[in-house]
Amino acid sequence: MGLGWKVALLNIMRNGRRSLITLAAIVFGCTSLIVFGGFVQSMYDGMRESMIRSQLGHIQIYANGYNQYGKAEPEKYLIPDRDLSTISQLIESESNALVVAPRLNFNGLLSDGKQSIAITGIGIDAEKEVMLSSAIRIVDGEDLFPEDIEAAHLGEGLFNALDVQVGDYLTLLASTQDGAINAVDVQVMGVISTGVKALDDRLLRVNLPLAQELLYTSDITRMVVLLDETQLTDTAISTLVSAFEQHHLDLELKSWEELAGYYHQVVGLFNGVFEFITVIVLIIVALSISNTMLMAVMERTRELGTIRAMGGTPRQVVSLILLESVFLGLIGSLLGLLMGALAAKGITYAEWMMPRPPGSTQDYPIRVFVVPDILFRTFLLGFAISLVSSLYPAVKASRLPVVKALRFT
Amino acid sequence: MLVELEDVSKRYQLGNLWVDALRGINLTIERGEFLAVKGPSGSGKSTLLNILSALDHCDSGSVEIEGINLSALNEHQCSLFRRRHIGIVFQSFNLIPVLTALENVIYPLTLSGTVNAKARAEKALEAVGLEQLMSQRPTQLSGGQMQRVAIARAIVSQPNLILADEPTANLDSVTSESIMSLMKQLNREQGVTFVIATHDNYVTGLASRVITVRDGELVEDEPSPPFTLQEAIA
Repeated sequence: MGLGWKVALLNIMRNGRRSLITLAAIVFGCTSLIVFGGFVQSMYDGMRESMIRSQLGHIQIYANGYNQYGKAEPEKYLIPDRDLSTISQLIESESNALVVAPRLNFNGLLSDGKQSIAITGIGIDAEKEVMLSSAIRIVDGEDLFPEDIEAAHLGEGLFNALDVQVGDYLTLLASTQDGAINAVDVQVMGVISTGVKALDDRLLRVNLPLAQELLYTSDITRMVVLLDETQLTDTAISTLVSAFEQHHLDLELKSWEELAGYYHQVVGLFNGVFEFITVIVLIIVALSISNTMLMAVMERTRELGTIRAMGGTPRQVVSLILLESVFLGLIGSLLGLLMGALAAKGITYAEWMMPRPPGSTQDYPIRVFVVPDILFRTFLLGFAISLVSSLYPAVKASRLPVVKALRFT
Repeated sequence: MLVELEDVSKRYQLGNLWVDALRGINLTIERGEFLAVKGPSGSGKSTLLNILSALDHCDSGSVEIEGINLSALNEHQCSLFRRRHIGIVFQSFNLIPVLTALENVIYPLTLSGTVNAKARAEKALEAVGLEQLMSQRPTQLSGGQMQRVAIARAIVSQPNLILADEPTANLDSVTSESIMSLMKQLNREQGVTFVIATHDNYVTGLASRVITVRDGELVEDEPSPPFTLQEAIA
């Protein structure tokens, strides 16, 4: 270790209390960024997986054109019944699919005899949806089973809006593919919560055969694919596109990312908030370090003058001050990483509950991820801000008139 | 000739007043001289030493040391000049408190990236009689010992000119005599030129030449016999 490093290190130790305060500022800043960043990441992760496992799946497969024209003429953009087994086999053989589930979407009216409420209906394969919709919580009643031909799950908001109990029968009306009105009786088997209030206010789930009977079709709207890992989505899509082309299947595929507009809005919003908080934290840390270094320079004015008198150049004085910042930055950032990781683990372990976010129907436990990218970025930021905030004191020290510095008391 | 000052003047502003710290100083110093600069407080002694050590520039006139015109040097060049040619001994020792005696002496060598810095520093400390106290911090040393370390630090770069501003002002008389004997010995044995600003008659009594500065002017220059002759008489 050169003498310059030793001088810098010893100078830090010389004013132990002040150095500790500076280190505390860096550690606090790093810990804040790691904990908040980890919390935001856990929110993204939770929201993403909740959306994937309650509504979207990782990949959705439609008849080509459905997303562009299907809302106006849904009956023309259904996946034909004759292709379903081929599609399912291709998906299962070409991707790491856990589940491939058909869905038939429809709009209709649900009536309890006194009032009718517009619903968003989904016909599902109940067995497969158990895994695909694992994030959907049954608030009351029981699961759907394929043999429960007339059974239905109502969203919590929809259930509360009707004068109905679990086990009661309701009338479901919808338009068939031909435009005729059709009605079936459904029995309330359970009440569900997706976590998204707007959806829970309108959602009705029935077994696929009942939905097909209602719409007078044997086709489906989409195939929903759940993969082993969310990270495999892009690879699976490109593999499936090739496989469908080879088999002349006129289909279009959407990833969860393309379908999760709300998710991207939330991510964009919170990324902005995170950057804003990062800037504020860095400014606070920078001011603290700068103040400490200015005081250190002032207290050591005569010493710095002596170094200049011995032949130290202005650049060597800058280096000496910056070296101290390097030490403070390194030690502070490393301690900050350690404290941040421990705080993240501790908060997650404590399982404190957060109030439900807007549009959600469930409270959730605070989870704080320890994200390597955030750790690395925070370390760099902590180190860099230590250096940057010492530049002004260092330059000021180098420009002290030597004669005045030597007379300083 | 080691030092040549021609018509050197320096003014300072103190509030609204301009003070003539030096007025038309002409001075030459030969190698190996042991020169004392005396004069009352505020007479310009320290200003003269600051200009000789390139810590400050004169307003007019010229200063040449070892043929180098100091007025032409910028800040960086002044630093390099001091590093190579000048050793400075301060009244308050100005040691770096976090470093040991040895490290304090090594420090100027590390600024210039000198090899064998440790060996040279040990030799310098031996020369001032502190070989037993190399690992002590300044706070563990007496005033005289600290000044010895400061002298070792000044000579370690082997400069031709050592400037000392009131080196004995903070020391008792016995220690002062010891420090001055040491400087005189270094002057005699190593041929180092000393310029010492002082009020102390004991110091001026040891000098081979004494100049007197008053109100910024060089009012008296008492050349003594050549050093070797003086020593021979002693």
